[in-house]
Amino acid sequence: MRVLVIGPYPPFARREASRTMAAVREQVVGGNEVTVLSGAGSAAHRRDEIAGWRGALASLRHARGFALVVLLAGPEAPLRAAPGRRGRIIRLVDCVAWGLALRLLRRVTILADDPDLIPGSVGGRTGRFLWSGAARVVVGSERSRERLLTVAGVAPDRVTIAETDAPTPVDWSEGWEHAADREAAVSAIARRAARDRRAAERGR
Amino acid sequence: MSGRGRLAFVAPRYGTDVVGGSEAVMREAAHGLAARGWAVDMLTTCARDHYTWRNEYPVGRTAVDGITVHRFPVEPGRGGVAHARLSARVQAGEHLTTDEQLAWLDGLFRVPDLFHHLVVDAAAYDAIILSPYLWWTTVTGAAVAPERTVVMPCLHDEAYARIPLLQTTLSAPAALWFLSEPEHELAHELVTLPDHHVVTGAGVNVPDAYDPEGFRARHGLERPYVLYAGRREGGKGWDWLLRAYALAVSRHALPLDLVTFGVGTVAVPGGLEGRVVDLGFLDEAEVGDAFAAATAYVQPSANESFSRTVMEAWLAGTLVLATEQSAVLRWHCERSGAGLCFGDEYELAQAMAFAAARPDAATAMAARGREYVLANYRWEIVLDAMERSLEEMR
Repeated sequence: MRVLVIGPYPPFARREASRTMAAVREQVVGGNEVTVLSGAGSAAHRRDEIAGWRGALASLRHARGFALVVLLAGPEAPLRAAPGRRGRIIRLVDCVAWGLALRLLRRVTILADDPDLIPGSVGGRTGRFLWSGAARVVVGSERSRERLLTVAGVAPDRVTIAETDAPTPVDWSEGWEHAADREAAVSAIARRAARDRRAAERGR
Repeated sequence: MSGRGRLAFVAPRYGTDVVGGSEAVMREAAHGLAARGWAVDMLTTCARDHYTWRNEYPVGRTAVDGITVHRFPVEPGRGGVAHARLSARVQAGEHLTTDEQLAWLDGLFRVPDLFHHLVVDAAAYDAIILSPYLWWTTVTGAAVAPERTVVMPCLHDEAYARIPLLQTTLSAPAALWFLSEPEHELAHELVTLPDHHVVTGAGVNVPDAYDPEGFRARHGLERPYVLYAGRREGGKGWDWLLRAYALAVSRHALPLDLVTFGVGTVAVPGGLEGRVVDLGFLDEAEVGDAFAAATAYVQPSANESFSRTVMEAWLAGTLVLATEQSAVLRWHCERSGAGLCFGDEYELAQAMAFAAARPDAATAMAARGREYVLANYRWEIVLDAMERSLEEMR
């Protein structure tokens, strides 16, 4: 099956990009032929707008010929982030544009670890229009699923919880014995953060 | 009339209920110099809120703790969408024509009566002190009597600092007062500076005592917390901090809440209900206690020219975790040996874990911060530097 994955991709947006890479790996492991669409300057196969109404239009254009579209939803895309009243207007336009695009594309799976981290997307008529347009939404927790069912009006059979996305809790309190001064603390923080980064990039 | 001389401080906002680093420095410097015998006028607007620039204080002249405050009405800008477009072009690094630069400056607010006052009365002042560099009051005010003008730019490395019209506030005045060495270096990179410029730093008031336990009890804070204080807005790193904090909580189950006070809306993301505590605007008497009760203070803003809250945290004996994107914060942390810089959300999470796991080491580090502030940023030291500069201008 030919799958189009849309989302932030390296070298930018490190954490969000790691989620996209994990989605690509999952599709490839499932035997699918994957093409990635991401923003300008990214390492994706295809590069175009992926946020805002322009992103919605671009996704319609690029999705021709694909059996499935997997859309990564995060704080910067597919909805644009902007502050204040202007931001609310932008958000409204983007919700409507993507709601329409999802309905026209039909076979879209949205991967949204926590929809509440996408400011202003859950709740309100435009938010409901957005989320209810997806064929399937995969979230990271039961709480997120409940939010989409009750607040965003998504049908229960369309929302599932990711099986492998739950991060493994790392004990925060252990391993600081030698961090007695600033130099040692800086070194320990850098080492531990690098380990966490690698784990996140592996999708754990 | 004072024997030391007469000074005009020109600030876009003034008041103890106004949140903003440059506004606080201007207010406290004005009162500090007045206490040393200078006759001080504070020329300001009727606005309290830098989002709306609505006139909230009454127009007119009042005496406030030894200085005379003149408030002038703000004329709202007619920028709207056009101003937002110009701002977006500036942020994208595009060059604006002179007309466009002027339209951008006018877009937020104007205070023509304040400018008129300066035009008429400038000769009555020995020095006119303006801050920060990017507002209408400073850009226009600096043009009235440049030979007697001091600008305290509160500059940081941002796209607006490259607008030629705003750069005149760095090149034209008689003197510049910088708050930190990185700010001074940045100004040199941008324009040719006047000969007379000095790093004065900014002063911080030293509380007599702290009451962290009382603060916790008054606000019902039962769990340890990291603190963020100031403007809760994207440009100050607040939105990023919320996302990074969510990662730290979900990945490490950190036992630290995130407590915040200041201005701006706090929209708590789902899943963090009860973990992010917004105390709103805190009375000045409580601010020190909020810092003292925190496990660590987090400063995520890359746009800092001094960072007063970092000093307040160190004074209170609290560890500082600061973004390495700010040259000023890196400078403070390295010079003092009292702060930890983070490059991304993973490093912030681990720095918070360190603060929670090693309170002894964190306290020892923060103690060096208190020494650093007392050695460099007590108001007596800063006011001495400002007075030396004013004397040199005569």
